[in-house]
Amino acid sequence: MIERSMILALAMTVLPALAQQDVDLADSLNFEAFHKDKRETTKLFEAEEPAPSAAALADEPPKGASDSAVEARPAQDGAAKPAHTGQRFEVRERYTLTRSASTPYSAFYVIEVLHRQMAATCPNGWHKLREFSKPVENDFYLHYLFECL
Amino acid sequence: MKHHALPLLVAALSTGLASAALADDLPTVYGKVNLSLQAVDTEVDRPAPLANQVIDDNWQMRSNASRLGVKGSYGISDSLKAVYKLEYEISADEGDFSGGDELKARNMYAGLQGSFGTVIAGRHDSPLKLVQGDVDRFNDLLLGDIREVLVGEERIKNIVMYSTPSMAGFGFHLAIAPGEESGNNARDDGLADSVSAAVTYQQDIFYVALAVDENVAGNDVIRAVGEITLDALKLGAIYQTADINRRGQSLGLSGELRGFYSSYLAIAGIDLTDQDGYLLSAEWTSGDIVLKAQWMQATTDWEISGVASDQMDSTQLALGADYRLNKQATLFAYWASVEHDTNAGTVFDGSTIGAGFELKF
Repeated sequence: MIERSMILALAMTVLPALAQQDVDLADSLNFEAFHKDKRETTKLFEAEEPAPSAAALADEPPKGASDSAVEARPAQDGAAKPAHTGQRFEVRERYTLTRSASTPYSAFYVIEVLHRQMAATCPNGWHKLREFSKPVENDFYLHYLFECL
Repeated sequence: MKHHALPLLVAALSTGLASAALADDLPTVYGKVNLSLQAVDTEVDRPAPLANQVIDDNWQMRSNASRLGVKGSYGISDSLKAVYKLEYEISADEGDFSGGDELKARNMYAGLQGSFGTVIAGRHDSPLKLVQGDVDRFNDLLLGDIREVLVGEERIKNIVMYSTPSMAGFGFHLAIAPGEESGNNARDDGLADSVSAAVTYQQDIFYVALAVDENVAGNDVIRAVGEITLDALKLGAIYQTADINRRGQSLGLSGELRGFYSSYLAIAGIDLTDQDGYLLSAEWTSGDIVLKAQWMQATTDWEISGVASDQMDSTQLALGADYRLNKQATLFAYWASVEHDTNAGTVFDGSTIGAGFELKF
């Protein structure tokens, strides 16, 4: 009874394995492959984003509002957009909760920007896997991890 | 811990996992359910005037090492991460094991992983056991697994194990375990009372491995494994030689027939003093169908407290076919036969035929 409760609790709190070979690798000496994250996520942003100047901020919307990374840019010429089905991506935008010299945007505003990026990346829809914020200087980055349907 | 406190622990663990998941990488659940329905016929044939003894003569639903595991890793720095795995066997046919337990511990560890390799501590299969790879075509199946005949299929408690990353195809693996004995007559009270080591080499179509156990479950074992892949055909072989390390500790057979082998002898102090054996196996894939065959033979000497001895010749033959429904699901059917012939005239034999389903997740 107790063990059954534990199994159910685990099942409710963890992600299912996407790589079917995990159970096979578990019975091998290949620890490297077993613990490798097989759900590689493509980051659609630069690792270290330089803080834009206040003057530039006044003139430009967040980059995702128009054209974020190359992968996220919508097709312009009518060509079929890649669905990226099953692929995982991560996007982020900087926002402030007060007043910032680095960004004028609120959390509410960048949510829309991030959704535009997800829509551009996954034309068939997406499943948002995680949402989290990380501090940067006096601001935050809002991150979305998502998987294309 | 009292039982009424355990639900709270479960809840706390769940909350903790969820919190950890938000903070860092999520744990991954994996496992498989392997169920088979099979006719089983096992017996002991004794020289007259002793009567033969039927052990099983029936149909059985079997859960073949069905399991549930949780694994994960957490980045400590750019070049170092903590890794863990907790894996349990589940009884998918009965719901619980003898004794009422619903889970049976398999491999479990915590460790560190980096460019240097992986170091783990906990409870784990020995490197010697794991070098078999897929050469044992009927792994975990009744009378088909190599443990029915060969010693060395051991999971070591209190293990500390180091594995290198693959280096030009080579991998090196070393495990030690203290025996944790104490008292005036303790022998295994050191740091590395049991040692298991292996070197593996994988390159394109070749896989070879050499492994050594010293005082693992009372045995010293040397195992050599090889496999070659020729398009749709895989050919594998294992050669193994084993000697007793510690009398009174070694009862090498770990398969289905061990129970009535020991009950037949009905005496304490049985030691398998040495064993030499080999295995040949083949697998041929055509589309979604995989045909498999395995042949194994071994000669084992045993003695009873140094006053009586005998020799046992063991043979295993297994044939089977898999039909892969997709990457996760497989239907299978197999037939297996194992026979242990002793010089004293007693024959332990068993056979089974059945079909099953395996679902990996």
